[in-house]
Amino acid sequence: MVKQLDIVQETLSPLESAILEAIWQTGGGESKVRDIYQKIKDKNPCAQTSVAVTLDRLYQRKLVGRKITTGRGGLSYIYFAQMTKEEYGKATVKEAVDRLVERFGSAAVAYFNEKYQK
Amino acid sequence: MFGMSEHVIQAAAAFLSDGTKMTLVGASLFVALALVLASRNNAFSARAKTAFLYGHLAFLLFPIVFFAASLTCKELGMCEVSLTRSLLFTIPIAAILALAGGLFVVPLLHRARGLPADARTLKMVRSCAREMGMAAPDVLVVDSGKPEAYSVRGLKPTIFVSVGMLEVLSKKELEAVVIHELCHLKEDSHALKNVAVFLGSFYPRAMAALMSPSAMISAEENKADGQAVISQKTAAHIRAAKSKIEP
Repeated sequence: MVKQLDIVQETLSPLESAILEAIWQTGGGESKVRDIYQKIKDKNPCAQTSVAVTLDRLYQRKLVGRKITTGRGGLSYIYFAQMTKEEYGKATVKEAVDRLVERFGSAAVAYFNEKYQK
Repeated sequence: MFGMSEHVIQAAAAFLSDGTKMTLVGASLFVALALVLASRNNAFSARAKTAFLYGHLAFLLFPIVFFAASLTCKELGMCEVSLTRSLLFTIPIAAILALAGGLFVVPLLHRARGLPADARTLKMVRSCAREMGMAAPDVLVVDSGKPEAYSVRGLKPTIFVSVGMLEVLSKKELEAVVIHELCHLKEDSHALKNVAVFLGSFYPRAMAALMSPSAMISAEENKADGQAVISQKTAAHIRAAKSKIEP
C-alpha cells in the first residue's frame, strides 16, 4: 500500500503550505499577516517579512484573496482563502491531468480509459 | 545606397582632415572626459554631479551634431545631405527624449498606480519633511504585499510605500525609511540616477572605472541612510528596516 501524500505539502513550499493551512484552520476566514505569522512561527521559524512576501505570491497565484483595511496602525491587508483544501487538491490534480492530456493527447486518454474504466 | 555610403565616407574623411574642425572635436571630447571624471567625486552634490553628466553627454554628442551640420551639397547630393543629417540628428534627439521620459513620464506612470495614503503615514511624512526643512511631498501607497518604498520626482515629488511595508515595519523603522526617501528628494538623486543609468547603458563594462551608475547610486543610498541616522540619532531603525525590506 503506497502512503498517500499531502497534496498541499507536495505541491507548495513549506512556508506556503504552512500559511495556507493556517488560513484554512480559521475556516478560510479573514486573517492579517501578523495573525498568520503568530500562528506559524513556532513550527516554521521565519521573519514576518517572509510571511508577507509569501502571502503576496499566493495572492498573485490566486490561492488567497485580499482586501485593504485601515486600522489603528495604518493600512494593511486582510487575507482569506480563495478555495477550500479539498478544492485546492481537486484543482491541482485537474491541472496535472489536463497537462498530460494536452501533451500526450490520445495516448494519455487511452491509458486513463484502460486503467480506470471499471 | 552603396553610392550614398561612399559619399558619406568621403565627407567624413574631409571632416577628419580639417585641422580646425578636429581641434574643436578634440576639445569637446576632452571636456566630456573632464566632466565625467568630476562626476565621480563624492564631494560634489547630486545636483552638481547631474549637471556634470548632462554636460558630459552634450560634449560627447557635439562631434556628431557638428559633423551633421557641416555636411554640404558639394560633398553630397541635396537628398543625401537631408537624409544623412536627419539620421545623425536622430541620435541627440533620441537621447533627449529618453532622458525626458525617465524624468517626467516614468513618475507619471508610478503615480497612476498609487492609492491614497492613510492619515498616520501622511502625518509622519509631513512631520519628517518639516524637520528636514523641505516641502512635504505627496505620499501614495502601492497595492503590494512586498515591503518596498521608493520616491519619484517628476513634476510632483512623491513617496511610495507598499501595504506590505506598512504591515511589517514598526513606526520608527517606517520613519527611518521616510527620512531616507525624503533625503533622495531633497538631494535630487533621481535626476542623477536617470542620467547615470542612461549613460551606463551605452558604456561598455570596461569603462566602469570611468563612469559606474551602480557606484553613483550606492553613494546616494549611503547618503540617504546617513541622513536617517543623523535625524534619528541611531542606526538601529534604518538597519532593521533594510533587513526587512531586503531579507
